Amino acid sequence: MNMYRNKKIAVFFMLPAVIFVVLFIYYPIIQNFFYSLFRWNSFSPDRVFVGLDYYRRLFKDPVFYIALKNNALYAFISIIVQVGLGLVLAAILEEKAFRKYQTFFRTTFFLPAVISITVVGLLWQLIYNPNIGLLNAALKAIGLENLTRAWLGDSKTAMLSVIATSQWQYTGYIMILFLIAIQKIPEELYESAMLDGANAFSKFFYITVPQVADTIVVSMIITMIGGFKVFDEVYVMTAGGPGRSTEVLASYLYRSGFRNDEMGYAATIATIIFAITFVTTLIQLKASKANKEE
Amino acid sequence: MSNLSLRNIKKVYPGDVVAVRDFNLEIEDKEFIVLVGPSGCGKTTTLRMIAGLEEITEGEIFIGDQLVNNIHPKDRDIAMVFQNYALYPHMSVYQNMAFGLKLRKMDKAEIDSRVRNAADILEIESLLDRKPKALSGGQRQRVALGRAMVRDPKVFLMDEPLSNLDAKLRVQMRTEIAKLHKRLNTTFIYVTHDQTEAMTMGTRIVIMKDGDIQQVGSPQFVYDNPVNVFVASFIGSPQMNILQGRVIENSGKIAVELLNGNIVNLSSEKEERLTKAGYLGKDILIGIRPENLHETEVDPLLDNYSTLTSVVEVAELMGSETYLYLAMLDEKIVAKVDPKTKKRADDQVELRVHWNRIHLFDKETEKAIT
Repeated sequence: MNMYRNKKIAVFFMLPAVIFVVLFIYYPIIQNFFYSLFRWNSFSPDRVFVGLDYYRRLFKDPVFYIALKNNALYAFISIIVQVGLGLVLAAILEEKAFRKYQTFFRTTFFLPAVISITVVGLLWQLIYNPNIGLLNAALKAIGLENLTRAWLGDSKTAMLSVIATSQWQYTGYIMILFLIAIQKIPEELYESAMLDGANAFSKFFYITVPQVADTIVVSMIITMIGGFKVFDEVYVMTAGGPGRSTEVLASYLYRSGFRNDEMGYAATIATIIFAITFVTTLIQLKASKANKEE
Repeated sequence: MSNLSLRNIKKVYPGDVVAVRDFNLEIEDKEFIVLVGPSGCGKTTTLRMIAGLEEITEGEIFIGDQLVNNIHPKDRDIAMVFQNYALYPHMSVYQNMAFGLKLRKMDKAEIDSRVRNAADILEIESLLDRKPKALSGGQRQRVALGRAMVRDPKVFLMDEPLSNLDAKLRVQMRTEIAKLHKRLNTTFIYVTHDQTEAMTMGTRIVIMKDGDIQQVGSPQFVYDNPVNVFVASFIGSPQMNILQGRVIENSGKIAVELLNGNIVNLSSEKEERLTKAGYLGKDILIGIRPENLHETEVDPLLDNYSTLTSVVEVAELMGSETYLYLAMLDEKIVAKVDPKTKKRADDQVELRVHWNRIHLFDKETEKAIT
């Protein structure tokens, strides 16, 4: 019997992975939803069943909407900057004229992605510091003193400042994904397009973009999920403040669970994060498939 | 006018790798030029320099009267068919063919009529809505040709376009491309490593080796008058037999004595050539094409044939002919003989060669003795 056609053996080989995924991913998701139906804290001996009460409370909670809006902004800007800029940077570095500098720029742009978020957070706190920060100093140096402010202390700019840090950190990572995808495109396609009359822009839009479409979808999903799950950046830099202006779902979850000790409510927020990322990912995948079949 | 002029073209790649040394060629309008040679001879590099995909290190390329060295590929009015077709995978056949016209902002109706016309000529109308993935190799090849055709370029460049096809399809496409050349009536420059393609398609062929042109001429002329041993053995299949010999005087006639003692007589014109150039008593190389070795009985007094004696090592039956692989001392030779031959391995065989069918080469320079 052909080993590769033996279904039993196939299942046997898949089993370890299946067990891991079920045990550490599917089971916790279900368990989390289950927890969200109870009122309990880390010290309570028993749980009180409250049904969907927490969901009703959440949908009336103004902080939830602030967080949701912040996450949406996070995801939106991340997709535009990380995917958009990442792709453009990768395309530029793959241009013939830039190839010899590619190694340098590739490393430089990718470096932030390997730095610990705590370090990045502290670094950017310094940059944003109203008194000794580089950003204000730079603005002053070029005569834009009226734009200086306490970037993280001002509720108008705090969220965008944190988001900007994330873009700095992860655009290089997405760029690497695109570099790999672009390197897989046969050179002849570009040459053929060149003879067909394509300039740099038409080569980008007619060859590069369609050829890396899969990577675009994947990286959009990655950054979108990242935008809705974001925690460390916010926690390290602003911890949700000033006020609640930079609260995101994950930091609100943390606050609810570990500060306010409302584990049920925290589980409810977690369920909502899961639902949002799950549904949007499904929509994106469907849309990209429809695109392909057309 | 779409004549081309390549003057002292040189291409050096980084690391001082010389791909093309000093390429000079005038290509007439509507010619079908075939650049042929073994891999690494610089033929593709030359084609890519004409296309503008490769920078020219030295020299000048003119298309018509225009110096194109610094002209962008898209403005050279050329079209190229790539070895692996380079069809845009995400576009349909129609879009692939229309792409170049669309980028040139051509009127939609005009694009449509050009694409459909080309598709009609290439018999691919039924495939217009398909993606390249859903096509066979031969169909992709046609689309690639169509994409070049719709542009109505001054010059068609083709880089080994048939090498990815199976043998049968290759033969078929060969004649189709030749027909297409007649029909389109433009200049074709075609690169191949396959001497059969070169022989059957080109109006003139350019044989290259190590970045140098070896010989330029019509297929028949090159076949009959190879300028050196390389060309002689590269063109023709199976390749020409090259044998060592010494020029001697034999009963008042100039002849060549082979290593095994066989005497090869020559036409009087060749005798004169050898004497004039002072080869008497010297070693030379002689070339005999396999198809010029016959098994037939001849009258040695009346007919101008010489005889080679040898032993058959392998007899290869091809159906329409039989190849006899023979050993003459250490030298191997091939003869393409009548399929009715009874000779088999280990048989002694006498082969005749006509005096006119002998090529003479200098032993040192390997150049033809003229």
